[in-house]
Amino acid sequence: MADKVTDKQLIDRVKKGEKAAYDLLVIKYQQRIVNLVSRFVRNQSDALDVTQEAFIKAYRALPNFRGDSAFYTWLYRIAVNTAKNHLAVQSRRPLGNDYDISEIEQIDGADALKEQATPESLLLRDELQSTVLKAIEDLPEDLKTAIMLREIEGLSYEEIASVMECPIGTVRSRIFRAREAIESEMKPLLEN
Amino acid sequence: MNESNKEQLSAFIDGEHDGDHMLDKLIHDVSMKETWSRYHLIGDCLRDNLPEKISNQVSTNVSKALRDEPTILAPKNTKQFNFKPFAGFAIAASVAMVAVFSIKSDNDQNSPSIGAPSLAATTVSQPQAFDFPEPQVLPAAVKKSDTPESLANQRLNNYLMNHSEYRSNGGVNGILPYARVVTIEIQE
Repeated sequence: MADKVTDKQLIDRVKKGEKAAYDLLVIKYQQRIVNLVSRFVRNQSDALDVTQEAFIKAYRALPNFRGDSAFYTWLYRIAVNTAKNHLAVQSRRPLGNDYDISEIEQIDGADALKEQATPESLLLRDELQSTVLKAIEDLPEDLKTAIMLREIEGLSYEEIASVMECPIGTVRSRIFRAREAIESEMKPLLEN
Repeated sequence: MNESNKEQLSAFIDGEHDGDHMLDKLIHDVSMKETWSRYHLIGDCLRDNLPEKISNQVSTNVSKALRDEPTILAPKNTKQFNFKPFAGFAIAASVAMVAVFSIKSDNDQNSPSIGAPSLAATTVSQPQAFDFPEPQVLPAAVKKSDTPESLANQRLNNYLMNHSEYRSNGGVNGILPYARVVTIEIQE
């Protein structure tokens, strides 16, 4: 529900012509969509290309998005269809008929393929996850509970305030402080 | 970016902060955008939504690709008036009208001798309830269907029935295709 409110505000801005607002939606959902597409497309660089294509398709179709469903649900469908189309095209391509180098230059997202060639630029999920979980463990109990209720249970601030028996302002502050503490632990990893 | 801005951003991500002013800052401030990215990464990490390898290539490439795309300007939603609920009512009203007029005209034709008081002769002093005229009982000796008037009525009825039948098949829009023409004939 909370996601829906923020997404709607961003979508309204995109529909008014602010492309930069769409960047925020891409940043927000890119990991989730790559993760989803990877279940269909095993090859990592293909999964990134398919995700990219899905986001571009979604941007083009955004004027038709009425907001009846959540943006993520709509994007999810586009991503799954794009992944399935990719697999269908791949299956029609005769075996051994690989792309030659001139063809690669013309493929959308060729830049992404080139950037993929440097695996050290990629952060491994396990590394990030263990850092974040360690940071959560180190949090004071009230901050830990607040961030877990928000991120994992998806409760609103009002609901968290009711569970934790404290004012909404306190919930807001606890969630922010938890995020700050976790961010400071993960920042060095991301910068490297 | 100061603490207060970051706290507002944190609340905005959770849909708990009024967005317009925050959005303006978020769209144009690079460091805020990076914080937005990291806060969402924390959420994805806790919900186990992360892919095997994490990178920002998708957002960078999509942003580049969209630079050449035409800007989206969605037309404003204009709410169209919903006629559906009224369509049923309109049809029902029309059918009722047809039924009432056909009964009334039939009564008028069948009771020509009922002496309706002339308007000039009656002085209306108070509102009067409308009474349907009593149907006149014809003498048994006179067969109604034999009179020229009833023969003419019968022909007219047949004509109307045929007309309504063909009209409903003619693909003409209007209320008549949905209405049945009803006639009443007094049984001898």
